[in-house]
Amino acid sequence: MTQLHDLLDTASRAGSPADAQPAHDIATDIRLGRRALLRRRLAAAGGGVAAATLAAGAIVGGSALFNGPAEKAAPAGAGVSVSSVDSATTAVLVDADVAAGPFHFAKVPQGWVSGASSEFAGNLVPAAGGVSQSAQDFAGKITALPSTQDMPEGINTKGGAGVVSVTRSVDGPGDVVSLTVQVPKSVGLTNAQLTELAQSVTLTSAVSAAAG
Amino acid sequence: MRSSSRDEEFTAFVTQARPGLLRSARLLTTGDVARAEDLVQQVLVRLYVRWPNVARADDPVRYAHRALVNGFIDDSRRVHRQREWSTDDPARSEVIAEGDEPGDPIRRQQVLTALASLPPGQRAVVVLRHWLDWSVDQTAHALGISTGAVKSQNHKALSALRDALPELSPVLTTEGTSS
Repeated sequence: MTQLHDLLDTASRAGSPADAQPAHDIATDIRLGRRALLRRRLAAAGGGVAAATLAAGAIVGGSALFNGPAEKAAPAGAGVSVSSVDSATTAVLVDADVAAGPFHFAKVPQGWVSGASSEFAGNLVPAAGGVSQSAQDFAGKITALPSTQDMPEGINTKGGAGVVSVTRSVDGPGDVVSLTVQVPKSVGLTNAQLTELAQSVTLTSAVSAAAG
Repeated sequence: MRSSSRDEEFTAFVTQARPGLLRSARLLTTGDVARAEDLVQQVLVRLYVRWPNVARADDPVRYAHRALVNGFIDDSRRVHRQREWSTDDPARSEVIAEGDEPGDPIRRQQVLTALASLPPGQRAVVVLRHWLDWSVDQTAHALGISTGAVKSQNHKALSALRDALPELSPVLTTEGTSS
């Protein structure tokens, strides 16, 4: 150990007894890390719109409800992947009682079932499979994402990598004030169906918003 | 990697590494407690996201210090810093730094003031070379600069420290020959 090292040792110590023993909360580091990881995975999944809802201060360029063009896509229930976004069958939205973690869907596209979900994201997956089993990988899935940010309501068709999203206001749980449902365009839901799907989602108290 | 496994490994790592990271951060931020804590938290969040890479690293603590120093330099380039505020969580796991008792306050302030006179890059070199005892090669690799640049910055930093701390000159002169 050198003398300069000794000086730096002294300088690196706390300036006061109060600073010397700060109560550090590792749970906060983990929570912030999870949020950052979720944002990164959203971006990697091509969920540009959903990722934007998670960024503080982000503004989604959502158009008014029913404004966008109707989407044509693959048969509902088929294995969906990011690369299969442009087929041509309109989906059927059916009444359901599907719990995706703490998210409840009263309507789902025919052939879609509950997938691995978390307190941050409720996922529906094609019954035929073909998507990741990770709750935080949203590629090819229908995903409900709560936010503490007051997001503009409406449908956004300009998300990246073949996804469309619809955002609506919600009143909790906790600080959650917005809910965005991200749907692969390949599912083939019309704007009216997208809105109906989003309106059918209810949140239990276990839901947490990933927005910072 | 399952999140519970990641969380357990990360918690063990933070418990071990955070006190040292915080002390390095205090040197880099020349005693700005709030900025040092912010810097460490930002680095820990980045490490959590990249945890598979961190866990595979030969020396995760060295990996963390490298991220800390580069985070400090990036942060220093920003005109406006943004603070990330902590949130309450009922499940708290507290870490109390050990061996972190306050030292000689006058000497501490003298050294911090002297460090504050250095540009961020030189300060980073001093911390890596003389606080963490990294080699020139290791310091160059961490900062993404040449070994010649490390030696040059180290020389300039020690000269400036000599000017700022004339009473410590013999100590620093000895250090200057080690670069």
